[in-house]
Amino acid sequence: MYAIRVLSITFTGLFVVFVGLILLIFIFYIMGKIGKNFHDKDSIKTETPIKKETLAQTQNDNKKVVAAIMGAISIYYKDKPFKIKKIEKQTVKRTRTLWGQTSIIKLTNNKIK
Amino acid sequence: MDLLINTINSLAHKSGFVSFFMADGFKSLIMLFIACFLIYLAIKKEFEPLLLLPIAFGMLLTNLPGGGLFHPELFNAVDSNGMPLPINYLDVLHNGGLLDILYLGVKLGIYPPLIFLGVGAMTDFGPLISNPKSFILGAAAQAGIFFTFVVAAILPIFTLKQAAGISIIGGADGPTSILVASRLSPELLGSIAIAAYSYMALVPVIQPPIMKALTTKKERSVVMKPLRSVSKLEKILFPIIVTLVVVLLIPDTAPLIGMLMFGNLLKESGVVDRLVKTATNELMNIITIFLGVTVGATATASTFLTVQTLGIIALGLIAFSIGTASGVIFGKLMYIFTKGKVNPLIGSAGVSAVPMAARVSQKVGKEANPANFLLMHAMGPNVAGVIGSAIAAGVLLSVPLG
Repeated sequence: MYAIRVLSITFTGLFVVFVGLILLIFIFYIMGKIGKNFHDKDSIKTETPIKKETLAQTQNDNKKVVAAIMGAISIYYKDKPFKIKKIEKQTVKRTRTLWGQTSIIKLTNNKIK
Repeated sequence: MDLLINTINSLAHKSGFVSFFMADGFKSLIMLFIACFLIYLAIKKEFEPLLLLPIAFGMLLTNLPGGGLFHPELFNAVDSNGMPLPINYLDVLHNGGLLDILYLGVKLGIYPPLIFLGVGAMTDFGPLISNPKSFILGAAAQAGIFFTFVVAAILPIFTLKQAAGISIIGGADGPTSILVASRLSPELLGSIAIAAYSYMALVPVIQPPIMKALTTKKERSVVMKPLRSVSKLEKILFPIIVTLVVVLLIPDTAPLIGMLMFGNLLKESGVVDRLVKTATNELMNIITIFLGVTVGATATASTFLTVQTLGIIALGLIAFSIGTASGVIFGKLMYIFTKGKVNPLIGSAGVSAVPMAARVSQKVGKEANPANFLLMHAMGPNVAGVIGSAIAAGVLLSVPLG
């Protein structure tokens, strides 16, 4: 009898925790779908080691340049990991980046997985 | 001359040093050594120092013979049949010491929700909102609580209420553990709080071997897609919706979830910066001191130096380990169902222990793949774990445990 009581509390507890959180998943999944249409100016990026810049206009170059800060590292291009094969530094003149006029790492031979 | 000797004699008999040589006095001495060891761990090893240091010093104060700062008998009075009597609060106010008065905040369940207010005001639920699937991992990691409940209930040294109080250590959430323990097993509060905070500090030691044992290098190397951006409206609606849904589902979660979400709403509203500053700094710091020192004060020799404490320490480790394992296993299931888009390591962060557990996921993921950046992905299950453990606590407080 005692064992049945303990097990019933256990399974009820786990069930309620899952039901509660799955209910929230549904609500926020729907909210997320709706929310995409409501993104306002104050929207906040939840992950931003993803600074992407195209210098095609300034350098007449079709290479994509990624400037990443804080040692961070997951670099994405069109939602796919960016494979960096070779990195060479290049000073860019009259190019203002988000962090001021600095040298920008130029990525060459970029291959997208 | 006689007067002088009598005075010295009287002082000597009142001295705490003499008490060490009286019956059970050596137990107080052992407790003082344990308190000093915990102080060492908090300062030197930085084991959750913000709470472990006050807890350890409260333990030291309460075990000083003759100090009279804390009187457990005021809160644990029993009748001639051994049945617990209701607390006489007037008696506490008239005859209680400093820590007795402060302990009322624990006994009445005031401090843990106020800590949750500060936690809510500091927490960014953005990663969870942008990836609601994280809720599953937050729920899965609560399996540690219920598994430990079964194990503790089987052991003859614990009652069902005590088993429930101990099992909540698996939630890896200090205030939740303290709230549940103070309601269900106040006699074990000190041991449970010390075990909970010690294991939370040991998360970087406990979790990685379990995570590595349950995953392959290929799984650990998975690079997850960046999270979508979350609008301010979503962030404001989140605490309101969670409060409505969770509290309506399990009303006993109201103090924890209500205050957690209230704190978060203050933060996300962006219009009450002064309140946010107070909730996250002054209020939280004051409550942390009161909570820590009074919880430590409950760890007297008679309640701490028992076989039950050893059982609590062992069960706490089981709770953390099972919670981590079940989170990772659910992470693996998500890895399979999403065809390799989810890194199973983020599942271990579901045990709560914010943000330590998420940092562990990041660290282990980075070891497998240096280009991996899992921190923000792990923060989703991590904060979901806070909500999950509060729900589990509400369930344990709701069910009749006799």
